[in-house]
Amino acid sequence: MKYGITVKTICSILIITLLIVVISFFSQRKLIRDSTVLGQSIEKIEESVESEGWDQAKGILKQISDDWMEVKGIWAALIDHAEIDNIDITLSRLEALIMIEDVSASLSEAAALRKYVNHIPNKEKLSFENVF
Amino acid sequence: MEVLKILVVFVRTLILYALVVIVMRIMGKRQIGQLQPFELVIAIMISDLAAVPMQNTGVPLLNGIVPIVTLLITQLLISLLSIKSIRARAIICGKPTILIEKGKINQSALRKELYAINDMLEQLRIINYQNIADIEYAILETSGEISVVPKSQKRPLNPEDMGIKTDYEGISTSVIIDGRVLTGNLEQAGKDRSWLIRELRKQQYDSPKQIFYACIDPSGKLIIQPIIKEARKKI
Repeated sequence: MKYGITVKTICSILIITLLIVVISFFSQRKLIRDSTVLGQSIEKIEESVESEGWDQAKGILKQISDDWMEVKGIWAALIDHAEIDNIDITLSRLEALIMIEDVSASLSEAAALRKYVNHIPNKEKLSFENVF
Repeated sequence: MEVLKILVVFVRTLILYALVVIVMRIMGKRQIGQLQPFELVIAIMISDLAAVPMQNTGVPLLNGIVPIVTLLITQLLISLLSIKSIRARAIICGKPTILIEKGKINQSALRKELYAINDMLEQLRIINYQNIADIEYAILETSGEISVVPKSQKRPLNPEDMGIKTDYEGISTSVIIDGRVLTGNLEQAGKDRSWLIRELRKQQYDSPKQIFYACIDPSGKLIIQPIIKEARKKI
C-alpha cells in the first residue's frame, strides 16, 4: 500500500511530537524521583546534624554522594550544567563541614543543597511561570 | 582538561552541524533569497539555536536539538497547510502585489507594502528594465522578488515571432564524471555500458577512466572531454 507525501509528513510530525512529549514526560519523572530520594536523604542529614550524630551523618552523606554520582550523568543531559556544578560544590562544602563537625554551618549548607536539588523539577516542568 | 573541553565542543559542533544539514534538507530546496517569510524566520532561528549549544558546553545538547526539531515540524506543518489551503497560504505567505499595472505605478500598493519607489526602480534595473514604460506588469512576489511582464513590443524576440521552426531540444545526460560511469543516468538515457565502451573506442579511448566528463546530448551523441594529467596535478 502506497501512502502519499502528505500522510508521510503528517505521520513524521506526529511521531516526532510524540517522541518529544514522551522524552519530556519521562525525564520530568526521572528528575522528580531522583530529587525526592536525594531530598529525603538530605533531610536525614539535617536531623543527624541537629542531634549531633556525626557518624550517622557521614554515612548518609556517603550514600548521597553515591546516589548523586549515579544520577549526575543523566541529569547533565537534561538540565543546565551550572545547576550540576552548584550541587557538586555544595556537596563538597557539606562534606568538609561535617568532617569538622560544625553544626550551624552544616545545617546551612544542607539547606542550600536541599534547595538546589528540590528546585530542579520545578524549574524544568511545563508551567506558566517557566514558559513566560 | 582543556583539550577535553575542546573535544566536547568539536563533537557537539559535528552533531549540531549534521542535525542542521538534515533539517535544512528536509525543509526543501529553496534558496535563501526565495524563502517565504515564515521560512526565513525559521532559518534565522535555527542558525542561532545551533550556535549557542555549540560554544556553551554548560547547555545540555538536548536544549539545542529539541528546539531545532520543533522548528522543523512547525515548518513542515505550515508548509503542508499552505499547500492544502489557499486561504492558509494567503495568511502565511501573503499574496503577490501588482506594483506596476499596464505601465502605471500602483502607488497605493507601494504604500501598502512599504516599498520605496527607489527600491522598486533598483530591483527593476537589476533585472534589466530601465524604463517603466516598457513594463506591462511588475509583481512583488511573496518571496520579496519582483517579476516583470514586459509590454509585447519590448519582450525579447523568439523563434516563434520570426516564424522559424525549431527541432526538439531535450537535456544532456551526464554519463561519466571524473572517470566514473554514472550507471543510473546511462540507463535513464536508454543506453548500456557496452554501448558506452563502443562509443569510447570509436573516439580512440579504451576505458571510462580516461574520461573527465562525458554526456549524451539530446540527439543521442556522446560528447567527451578526456582527463588532462597536467590539469589534475594542478588541482
